[in-house]
Amino acid sequence: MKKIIIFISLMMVLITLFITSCGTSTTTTAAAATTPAGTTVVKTPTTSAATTAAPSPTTSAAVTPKKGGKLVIVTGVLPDGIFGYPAKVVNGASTRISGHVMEGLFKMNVDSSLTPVLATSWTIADDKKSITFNLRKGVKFMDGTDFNADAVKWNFDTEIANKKVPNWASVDVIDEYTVRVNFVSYANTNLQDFAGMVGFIVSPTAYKTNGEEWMYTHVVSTAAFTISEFVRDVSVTMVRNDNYWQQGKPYLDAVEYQFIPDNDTAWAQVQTGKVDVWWTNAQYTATALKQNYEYVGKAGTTMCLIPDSANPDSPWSKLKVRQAAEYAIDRVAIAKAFGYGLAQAPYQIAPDVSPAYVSNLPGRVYDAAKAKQLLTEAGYPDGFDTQIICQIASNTNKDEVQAIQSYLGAVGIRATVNYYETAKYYEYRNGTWDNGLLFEPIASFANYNGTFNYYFGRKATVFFSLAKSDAFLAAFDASMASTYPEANLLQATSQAIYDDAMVIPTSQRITIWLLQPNSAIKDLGLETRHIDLFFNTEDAWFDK
Amino acid sequence: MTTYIIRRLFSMIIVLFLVSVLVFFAMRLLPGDPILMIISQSEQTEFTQDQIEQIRVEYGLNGPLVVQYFNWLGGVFHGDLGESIMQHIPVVNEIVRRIPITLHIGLTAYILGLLFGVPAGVLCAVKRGKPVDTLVTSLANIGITVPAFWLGLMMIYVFGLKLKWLPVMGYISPFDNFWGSLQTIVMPVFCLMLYPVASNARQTRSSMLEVMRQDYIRTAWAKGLRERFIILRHALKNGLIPIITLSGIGLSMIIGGSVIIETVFNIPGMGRLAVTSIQNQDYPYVQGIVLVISAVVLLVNFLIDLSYGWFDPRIRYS
Repeated sequence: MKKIIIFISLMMVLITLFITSCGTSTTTTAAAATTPAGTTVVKTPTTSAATTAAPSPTTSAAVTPKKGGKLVIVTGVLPDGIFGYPAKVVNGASTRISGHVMEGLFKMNVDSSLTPVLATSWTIADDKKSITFNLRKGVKFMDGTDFNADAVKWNFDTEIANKKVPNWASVDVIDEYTVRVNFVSYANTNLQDFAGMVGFIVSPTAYKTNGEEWMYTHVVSTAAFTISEFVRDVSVTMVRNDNYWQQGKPYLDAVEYQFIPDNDTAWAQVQTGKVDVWWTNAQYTATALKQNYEYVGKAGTTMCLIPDSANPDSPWSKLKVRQAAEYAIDRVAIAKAFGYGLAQAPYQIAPDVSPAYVSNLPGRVYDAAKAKQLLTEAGYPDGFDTQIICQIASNTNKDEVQAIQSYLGAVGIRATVNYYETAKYYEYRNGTWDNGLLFEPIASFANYNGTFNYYFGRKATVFFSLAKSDAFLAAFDASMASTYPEANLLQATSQAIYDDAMVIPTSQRITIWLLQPNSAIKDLGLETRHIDLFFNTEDAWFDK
Repeated sequence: MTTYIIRRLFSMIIVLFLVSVLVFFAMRLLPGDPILMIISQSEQTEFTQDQIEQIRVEYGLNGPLVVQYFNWLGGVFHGDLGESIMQHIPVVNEIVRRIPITLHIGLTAYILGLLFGVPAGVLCAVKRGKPVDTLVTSLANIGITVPAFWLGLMMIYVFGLKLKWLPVMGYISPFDNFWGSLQTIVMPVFCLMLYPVASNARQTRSSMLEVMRQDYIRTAWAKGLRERFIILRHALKNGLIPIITLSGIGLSMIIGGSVIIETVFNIPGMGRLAVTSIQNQDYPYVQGIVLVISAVVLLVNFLIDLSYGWFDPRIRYS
């Protein structure tokens, strides 16, 4: 009996090995139509603030986009189901959906440039106390009512009433197609508000007729698509708006998001060929590239170790200790091992596609001897004990954390790694921690001042144990105060963070949109929109 | 009998109350704050302390815990299980939408577990020592040990990707498309029923062997009654008591197993909702789901206990 059970168990193991080996290719094929990490972003011509040009198709004149087809996208994040009323959209996953079915006055690109959408031009007052928008004429909401200054005022007033935009004071209608937003205070991150969720415009008439809760799942905007069906935790389907104001667009008939939180299941679904785009990570992309899948990747998030440098009793309060940690970690090796050939070693928090990236920064390249020397100079010749605080999440690669722990340990920084569930981790992240390093993803906002402000700003609600140098705060204030984000000021702020070793970048996370082999989808605009939240579905089309 | 039923119903209410208290306070004792998670996931980059407190008030999370509990309990008596912190929708609406999905798959697996497991056990008992007994018992042992998630992934790979016979994931309601629904539930039901089939087979075999040694069975043989009549009419009926008891426990395991199966096959049932709610510390969802599941399990076990009297007339409740 026992022998039979052992025999059957062994057969099962062999069968499993046989089946799984059948599924993998033994040949390595080159990835189709890709470029190395860090250069996968296709830069588009930037537009000036005062432009009056309407957005035009991004395809060349020789290629006529074909109409038809449904774009199917798989994502693992689950929206909360509030899409159509911008003042109440909080959930990040819902924001992504809303970006397809609503529009703002302009959109922000990955290089911080602005493209006009519902506004044709805008002017920031000399005293920076207001911004005046000239609105696009002849645009209608999906319910047939007019898009005009009154509609914009109503939308922005609700955002102010819901305390979503602390920097906005009031909104004035100048004339039917001119509206002015008055600021409490100005920072160029205010511009990001108009390009993001709080700046999206929906029909006031639809709200007044149907009520707020109806608006949660019904979208009445000016956009190219509207939601036709939402099945919670399963899918959301968006169909074309035939009366879209951009003539001839959209080209697609529909866009469908399928929500598949489990990566293995999502990968299986992708392999059935029924999915056009999978919003995934580098690990699955490396597997897929061997099978001729295509991808578009964009460096976005930088994983960083955040020290409790504001704690005077902590070793991390000393500059030389932080510098030592930077020298101790071989980021090139980490990028090779865990970036699957798609990521680069980061020596600063901004990715190289960002205007905040300092191109001539030498970086504290791996040098264990120098790390030990710095520790000795800091008064820790025998090293010290500390901890690395990690969140149990898809962004946390445990092997990478272990590698970091080993590198630090090799120079004498003996770190215990503690993993916490999201809720507990956020207590540290949104609070304080002692003698340790948070392992945290630093997201890239299109206007990198947004990143600086959210994580390190004077009113930041995270990292209360992190000290911010005077040099950083001065550079940050200057960068925020410029009318538009300016590359030299952004880079000065990045430089200040680097000079103070304020945080320790360890690796890049590449946002990947995996496409089917020989994908027919064109002009998604993934490379150019601000980070990974939105892309240009009104321009996308199937070349078949 | 009436007294027994009333007594059991009363004890069920007590159990549900204790479960609700336990879950309520246990969730709030967990480290972490769901409000912090909300603001961290928000696109809004600045939150003042007043705004954070305002959000806490909106979700009813600002008062003393005891007050929060009785506010929630008061709502339960009116059919209101509260509103989800993450999704801003009534908990009862979402549970009502998902419970048929979980029950569809779970009950199908449960019933098939009995339909296949019990006859398999009877066969093993009747053919004890023969090759068929060895084979079925071995398969039952494998069925008990195979992890459901592994089996699910293997089935997806073989039947979904390689053979392309079945969809790799998803769920279709039988009222929308019966054939499509059948295709979507084949794999999850199979994964979920494997353990019940195996455990029912083993228990039935054991129980039948015990009963078939009894004197009255020997008498029945001696009387010349047909084998089928002896097995089904005398042996099986008397051997069913432990099997029925086990099936009550099996139902709880199926509900637990649905968490894994719904995640692997991307089925929007209660199990998957329970997982995400716990991860997000969405208190109302967790409380509501646990309450509903507890009620279902208690009710099923109560019905099972009542059924003993039908199977064995010697059992009488008072």
